[in-house]
Amino acid sequence: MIDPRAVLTLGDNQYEDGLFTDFMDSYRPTWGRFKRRTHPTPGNHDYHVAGAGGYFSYFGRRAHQGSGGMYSVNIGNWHVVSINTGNGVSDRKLRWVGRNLSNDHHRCELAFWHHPRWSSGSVHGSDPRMDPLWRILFRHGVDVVLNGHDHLYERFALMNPRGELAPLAGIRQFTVGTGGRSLYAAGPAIRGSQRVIDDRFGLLRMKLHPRGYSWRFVAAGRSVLDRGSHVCHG
Amino acid sequence: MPAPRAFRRRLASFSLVLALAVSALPGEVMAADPVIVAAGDIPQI
Repeated sequence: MIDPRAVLTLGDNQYEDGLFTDFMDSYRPTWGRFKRRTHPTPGNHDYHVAGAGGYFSYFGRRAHQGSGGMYSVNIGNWHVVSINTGNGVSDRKLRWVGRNLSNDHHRCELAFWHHPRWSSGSVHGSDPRMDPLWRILFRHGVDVVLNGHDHLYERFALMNPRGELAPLAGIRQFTVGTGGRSLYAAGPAIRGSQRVIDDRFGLLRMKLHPRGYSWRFVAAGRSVLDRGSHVCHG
Repeated sequence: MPAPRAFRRRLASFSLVLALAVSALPGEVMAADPVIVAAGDIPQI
């Protein structure tokens, strides 16, 4: 058995409204078992409570309320950045991300937040509000982005902020909105989409190597429905 | 008869926790490189 070093939650951590009582009654006995190794990010549903009060109260110091829910951690040889898009993307947040990445010199970098820039999902789809964020991440050579929001699994090729294939310096986005709430049907695959699974709940399991990464989408029941590996840009 | 929605949600959530806890797969070599897991949009059960 391998215990994950870290659990990243990709927003909308507790349906329907992110109430503190629901975190305590529902999240805590399930996902909450991994709270001490969880790095969360809030989603729009967490902000159904004013100021995402339920989310910040439940996760406490792990949610970094003092910095607006924005924070970074280093896991192995990776720099991992949590970006709060649950209540929108502001210039202040963008500046924070730029500063954070300017001060980091890891070869491999990962960012995660709730709303996907790219999505073949038929419910939400691609979100152009995330474009400024992608431009900053691309400029700083971020390797991987993880999102939720669309309730499906989708893996993209390495892309640039214009949504074009960028195999040498692009960002690979995974959407993993498959935490169990419900499933959304995918529409036609958009450019760069390499794998869509819209009929199974599951988790993305990543191994963070010193110079690269490997991934598996593990569906509930432990079947592996997607896998692969890649090197970091350096 | 299909299972009630609440039961399906509970089953899905518990299945995910199980997948999280026993995420080693047959034939996998233990490695020092850290493993992370990620998902969003978590149901109330």
